[in-house]
Parts: sequence; C-alpha cells; structure tokens
Amino acid sequence: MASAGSGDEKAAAAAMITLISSDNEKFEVTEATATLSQTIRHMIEDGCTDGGVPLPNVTSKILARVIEYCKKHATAAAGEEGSSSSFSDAAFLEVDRAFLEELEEFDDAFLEVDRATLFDLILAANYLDIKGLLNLTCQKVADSVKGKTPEQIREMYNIVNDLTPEEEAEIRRETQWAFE
Amino acid sequence: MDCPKDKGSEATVACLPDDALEGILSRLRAKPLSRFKCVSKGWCGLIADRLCCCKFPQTLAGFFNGGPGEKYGDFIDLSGRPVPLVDPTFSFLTKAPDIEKIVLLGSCNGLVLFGHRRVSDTYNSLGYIVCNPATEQWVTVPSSGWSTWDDGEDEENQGDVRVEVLDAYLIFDPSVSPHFQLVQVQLGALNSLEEAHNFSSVTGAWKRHEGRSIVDKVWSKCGIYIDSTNSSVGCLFNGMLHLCSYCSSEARNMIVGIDGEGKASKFICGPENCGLIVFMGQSQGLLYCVSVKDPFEMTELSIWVLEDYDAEKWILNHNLSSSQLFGRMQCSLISDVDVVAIHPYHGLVFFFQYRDMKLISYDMDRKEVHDVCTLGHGCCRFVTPYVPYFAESALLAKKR
Repeated sequence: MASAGSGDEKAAAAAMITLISSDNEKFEVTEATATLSQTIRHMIEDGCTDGGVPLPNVTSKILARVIEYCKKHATAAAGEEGSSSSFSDAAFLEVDRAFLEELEEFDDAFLEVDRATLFDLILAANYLDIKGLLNLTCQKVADSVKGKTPEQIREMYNIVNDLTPEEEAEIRRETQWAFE
Repeated sequence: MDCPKDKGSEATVACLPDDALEGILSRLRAKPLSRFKCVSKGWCGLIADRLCCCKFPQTLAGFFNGGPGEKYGDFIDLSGRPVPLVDPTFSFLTKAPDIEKIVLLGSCNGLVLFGHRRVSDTYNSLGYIVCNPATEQWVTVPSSGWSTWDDGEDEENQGDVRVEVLDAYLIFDPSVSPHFQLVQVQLGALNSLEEAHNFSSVTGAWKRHEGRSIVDKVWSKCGIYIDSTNSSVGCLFNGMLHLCSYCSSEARNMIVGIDGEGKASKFICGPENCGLIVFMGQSQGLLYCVSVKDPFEMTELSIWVLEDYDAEKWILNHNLSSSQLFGRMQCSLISDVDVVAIHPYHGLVFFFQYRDMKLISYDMDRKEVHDVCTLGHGCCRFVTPYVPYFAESALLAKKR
C-alpha cells in the first residue's frame, strides 16, 4: 500500500464512496477518507461498495463527525502506514511537525463533545475499525476516569454495583494500595 | 452487545461493548485499574481476566528502556496495551523531593532496583532505591559503605588497590517471602570473587559475610573469577543469587549460588566446552544459560538448560548461528547485540540488536525468530525485563 505510485493515488482520490447512515442519510466521501476505516477498506477490497455502504449502527449525526475526523486524518495516513509501533514515530515527527501540531489542535477541538456523543464515537470507531479515532476517544475517557473513585465511576456512568458487600470488601482488601 | 438501548439520553459506559470498555481500561495504569475492580462484577471480571491484573502467575509484561546515565520513559509492552500498566518515567520517584539522581540497575519479580546518587557523583553515593512501579511505593536503602576505591577518596593515592564493587543485585520472590535482599559482590585482584555484602529488608541493614571470603577454603584455592565482560550475568534461582564466574583450576564456567547470608553455598559447573556463559535466567522452574565461543566475534550461540540442578546435568537445547538470529555472519556481544531475557513461562529468549535498536525473540519450541519492536531514535541501549507484582508491601512504605 505504502508503495502505491502517484497515478494510483490520483485514481484513489478520484474514486468516491457513498456511506449511508442508520437514518438513511447519504454521505459521499473519497476512497482515501473512507479507507481509514478498516471495515470499509475490506468492503472495497471485496468489491461490495456499489450502491453505497449501509452503516446501520451509525447515526447521521455521528457519521458526520466520523467523516470530519477521517477527512482531516486521511492526508496523514500515508505517513502513518507501516509504523504500527509508537517507537518509530520519531522519524515521522520530523517529516511534518507543523502539520502534526495542527492535527493535534484539531483532535483536541474534536473531543469537545458531551459524554453521550463521545461514547457514540467510540462505538462507531470500534464498529468501523478506525484505530486512530478509537485511540483518541478511549484515551479521552481514560483520562477523565483515572483519578476517580469506584463510587464516582458508578455515579458517572449509571453502573449498578452488583458485588455483594463481602465481595467488595475482599477486593478492597486486596487492592488497598490503589486507594491511597 | 445485548444491552438496553436509549435508556434516556445519557449513555452508560456499561453499555459499551466489551471491546470498547476494554479499550478504555487498557489505557489506564495499574493503580486506577485495580481500584476499579470494585465498580461492579462486570468491571472486575474484565480487569481481572482480560487485562491480566491478577496476582499470580506473574509473567513478563515488557521491558523498561533506560539505563545508566539515561532518561527513562519508554516501555516495550508485550501485552499489546496502548498504555503500559506502570509509569515508565518513574515520575513518582523522580518528583520525590528527597531523591536526587536515579540509575536503573535491574528488576526482580515486580520490584525495581535503582542506584541513588548525587547529580555530580559517578557511583551510587546515596545508596539504593527499591520500588514497586505498580503500587508506586518505594523505600531507600543506605549505601553499603563500600566504594570503588579501597582507601579513601583520594584517587591520586599510589597505595590504593583497585577493588571493583559490582552493582547490587536485587533478590525478591513474593511467593517465598515479602522481604527483599540486595547482594553486592566485591572482587579482588584479577576479579577474583572475594566478599559479599548483603542487605536484608528484615533487618534493614547491610551485613558483611562473616568469613573473610564468601568462597570457602576448598573453592577459594580453585580461584573463582568474575569475567569483566559478563559481570552482570546473575539471576535468582532456588532462592539464591546465581552468578556466573570462571574457575581457573577447572578451566570452565562455574555458577556460584550466593545464599541469603552472602555465602557462596552452591557451585555448579557450567556446560562442558560451552565457551563463555553470557546470560542466565529461569523459565518454567529451570535454569537456562546462553553461551558463546567468542563474545567479540560470535558466529554461533548455544542455549542450555540445567535439567537436573543437583546432578548438574546440562542439556544443549539449541545451537543457533548469528546469521540465523541476527542476519549477520559475525556479531559482537559488546557492541552489536545483547541477550536480555528469557520468558518465565514461555520458551522465548529475547535479544536486543544495537545496530537497528530492535528487540527480537527466539521461540525455542517453534525454532522461529520474531521481531518484537524497534526503538526509535533517542532511546537508549539498555532494556530491563519487568514482571509486575500487584500487591502492597509494608516494606515499601513511602508513597508518592
């Protein structure tokens, strides 16, 4: 993929894919944008995108946000290819620092959403298999919960504590160090 | 997932598919993760089962990157977590007001040993720090009082005899005792094994082994020497620190087991005609060693297993060529590659190639070489294996 010639890239950029949300709204995007989703990439490879790609798990509101993310990141995708390990990012950073800074600002602004939207984005990123978006959204939630107590977590996310008092006491005994 | 949809406008995290919840949990460190076991049965199950946050068996989680004089910050995670379970920058230590400069020396079953020194010093003038990066607890260990020079601080002094003090080894096995020990070995002329200092967290003090020599009379006549090229070859096995040495009278490798008293109480001959032992480690309850004929121009490497500890019966497990492992006919164990670890439960031996900063593993069962990861520019050459231990220790009293 990384070695695709410029002719192929132009052809890929010209090819358009239609994505259809659960509420039947159609979004036309370039193949380069759409293939940030591994799920859609596989569909394209299997040649089953004619007539549009129905995404019954994603609403138009969320799909619009996901596309916004993919458009912005599609240009950076070529550089990211082949660098699955975070340790090899150093060389990549040198390539276009300014662009990456802009991307970071975009990501920060992108995450300024309410909790329900953030969860919907995680679900969509998970379903569409968009690694970068999943990473970004999960990290946002992880950062917001890391300093919290179990009680606060239950309250934040409406989780019913189904542990018996004995079970909870036992876990607390084992993990006392984690509460200090 | 079959969870009720649209129960009001506020989505609940519990209704995220396990994959997504796991995605969030896999970005949390050991501390909040352990705390969140009390949220609910579902969270407890996910954290305990899928994230391996259980107490036993302790397994190899990955490698810290950083060593003498280097910064810390990277962790090579073998579990594939996007964020390591522990803070690899050790900020809970470096931010502590009473800690000056720390140097990563090694780790043993969940505890990590640092040398502690003033910024201007080149040796561990302030002693040591033992920490558990998972619980972020730590304790200082005073200096043993030994310095690299036998007699005072004046390096110009003609009468000084150079005595090399090897860095301390950490001994900790939570399945045996909650206490840890440090062992410091002193070498005499020609690197002969002379004395050992032992620090025990039971007494909180250093103790010199009572006999003048840690090696008893019979063995001291044989001459037990530590080769300076493999001075750091040591591992915990059967509750004893096992150090690799060379026995001049037998003209072969000799593995010396130093007990909790700082006495050499076990001598095991190395495999016959094996060359030089350059690594020792334990896996699945057996002691393994890696040997080479020539550490400077290594063309092949042998992996041995001590099948019978008491009978000193070594079995040659694998003979591997440098080209097979590293893609080169000849390598130097000083400047090209290093043997860094053996997996405690799987038949994997890890090597680090300096040339391309790549960590590779050799699968002894499948006889295959695999790339683990490549470190980026600015990373250092030292990688330290880490096996987490998620339990509180009253001995590591200090907290962040």
